[in-house]
Amino acid sequence: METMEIRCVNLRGYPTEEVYICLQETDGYKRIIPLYRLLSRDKLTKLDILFRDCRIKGDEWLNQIGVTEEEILSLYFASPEGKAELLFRELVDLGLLPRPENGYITLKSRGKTYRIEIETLKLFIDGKEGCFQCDEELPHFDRLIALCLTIIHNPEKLEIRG
Amino acid sequence: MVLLKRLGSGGHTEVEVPHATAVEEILRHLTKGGIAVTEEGRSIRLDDVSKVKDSDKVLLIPAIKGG
Repeated sequence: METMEIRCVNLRGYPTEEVYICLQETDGYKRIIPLYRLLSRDKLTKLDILFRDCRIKGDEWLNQIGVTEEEILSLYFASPEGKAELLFRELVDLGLLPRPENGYITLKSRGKTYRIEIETLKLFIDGKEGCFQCDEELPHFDRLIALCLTIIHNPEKLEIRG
Repeated sequence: MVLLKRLGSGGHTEVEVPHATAVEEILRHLTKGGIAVTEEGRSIRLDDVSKVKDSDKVLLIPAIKGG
């Protein structure tokens, strides 16, 4: 199994605006696991202490807070974020979505090339960065699925400026 | 029966409904600007919702628009 790399990131809307996520390299993209939603308060406090003391190297943090990769993955895949990723993988396996490569999904639709950076969900249309929005607050991979299927079936929706 | 799988902020919901109810639900979803796709990858349009087959598995995707 690939190493789980921990990161402390800023996220608007959270009291301290700093939360923990971990990244894991998987089939052609990086899986982003929102630890701040999955781990108990006491484990997150232990992470605070480890980060403050700069005692985090590789995936040592797992041992330090007393959790295994398998436990984290099981919590993740039971959460809306993990279920969205499972559906994404199912759609890729069914051939409904292209297979990710080097962190990107590339789609051709109606003469244009669309490239999506999976980690950030940045969209590039024929090389130029484009914008999109969804009225619903969707988990990361649900947003990616919605974007890909819109590009495949209704790319004109992305041209509407609102 | 048609299986409808909806992506949404509250997570995925999956319901098996009679054909007539499914057609009604899909129509409502498409009218709101969403996308409906079968498991075979066929996109369902407003004018061909009635072609949805009993036993189809349909994914209801929220609307995405350019910003």
